[in-house]
Amino acid sequence: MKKSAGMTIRAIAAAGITLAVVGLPAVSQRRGGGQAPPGAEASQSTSGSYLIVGSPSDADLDRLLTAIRQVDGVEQAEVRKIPGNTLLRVRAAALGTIIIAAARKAGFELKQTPTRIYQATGPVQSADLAQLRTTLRSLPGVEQVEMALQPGGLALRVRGAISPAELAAALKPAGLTASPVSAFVASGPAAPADVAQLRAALNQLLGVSKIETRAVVGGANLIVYGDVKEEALTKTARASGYGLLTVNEPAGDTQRFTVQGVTNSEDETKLREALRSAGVTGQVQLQRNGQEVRLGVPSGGASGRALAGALREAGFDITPVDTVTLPSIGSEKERITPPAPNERIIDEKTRVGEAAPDFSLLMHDGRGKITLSNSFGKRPVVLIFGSYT
Amino acid sequence: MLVYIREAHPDSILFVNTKSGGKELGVVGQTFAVQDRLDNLHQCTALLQLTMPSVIDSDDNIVNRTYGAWPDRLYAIDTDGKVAFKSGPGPAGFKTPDLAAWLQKNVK
Repeated sequence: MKKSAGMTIRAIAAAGITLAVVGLPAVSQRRGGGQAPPGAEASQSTSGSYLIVGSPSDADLDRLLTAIRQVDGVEQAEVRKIPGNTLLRVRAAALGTIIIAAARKAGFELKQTPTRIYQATGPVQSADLAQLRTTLRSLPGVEQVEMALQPGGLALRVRGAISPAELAAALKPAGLTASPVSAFVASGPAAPADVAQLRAALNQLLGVSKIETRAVVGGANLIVYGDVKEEALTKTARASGYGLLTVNEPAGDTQRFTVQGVTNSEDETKLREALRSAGVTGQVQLQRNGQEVRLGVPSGGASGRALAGALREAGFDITPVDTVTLPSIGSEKERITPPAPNERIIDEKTRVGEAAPDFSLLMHDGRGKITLSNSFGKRPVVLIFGSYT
Repeated sequence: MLVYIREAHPDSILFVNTKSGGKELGVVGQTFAVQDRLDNLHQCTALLQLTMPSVIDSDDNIVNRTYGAWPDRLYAIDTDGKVAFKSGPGPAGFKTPDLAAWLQKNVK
């Protein structure tokens, strides 16, 4: 397992820290949250899109927009109809569940727009990439496109409400044949004969062009090439005695560039100031590799084009670097996906020296609650925030 | 106290404990509902044999948002209820030695 909350907790134990244990849980009916200190305001915002499940009427959409616009920190919300889907686009201090929960309260279900990996085969050179990227980004429903040259063609990561057939049609004039590539873990027998039977069964499905398998403890890793419905794959796998688990490849939360013009620490300081002026918040990564300097900035803020313009004025040229790769059958037994996008909290409401916002949260047994303020008095309380992944 | 918040790498494939005491590969998905959060927290505490108090954030993620906690973060709240130590946001800011130093200095 790579880094996980569990491992960070283990690290604490290894560091010899005695964790201050809070008192016995107090049962409280009050919801957690506490008070934010005055003056805590959203400093920056991010954008994101969601698919609206179902076929809402215009009146429904107005109601949804009203609900979303009432969410604290939402600056802008709009709906956009594209063939087969309706999208909700939101610009807000924080996205994720806040938006989904607000929509649910108003009677709507939202889904994150999917990210798919494609393999495109055909004649393509690095000089073609900019035009191809522009073409794909102009398609209705497409939000983000990353591409990288591969032997014999391209690897693409496309986020947005666009079908594989629509994407393939858009690439066809360039002489490219595009097809989705999906990664799964099949949970079940790992014996070669069983895995081979699974592979043969899935190969029969309409749309499947190729399947790679690799047995692992507890089942097999699968790579499926072709435009095939996940439901069909799941049903067929189940009939062969396997549970099929999708390995999503969400877009990374970092935009990457190469930078020209950074030669010393003064340049680096100037670059960081220019990024701040362009609205970039969060952790900026700068790495020097020989003559090349690589820049990583959190996604969701200024677009690559806006960043390029702002940095050019400061004397720097940046070029986007795409890091998309096709799924690999891999040899690992476990797989860690990239960090979830749009989850980082920009608008913090805690400060050292100020009162800790109180909360009352459900305990692991699902019954009692622990109220933070009931634990104050004898010893400090350590809070370790984390998750399973 | 361990506070379970939103998953950092949702849909990762990890080993999880089975009811029969074994282990199997499973997808650890993002959690929206209370039961899903309890399930993931159980997996985490069982796998690591944790005994510290542990809680789940509510479905509106209010504690995560208030504390700027995602993906992981460390705090120490002093006996007067004030924030005494606050790490940077993880993973880069999740520095246990800094917390250890604070505790060694301030907890007798």
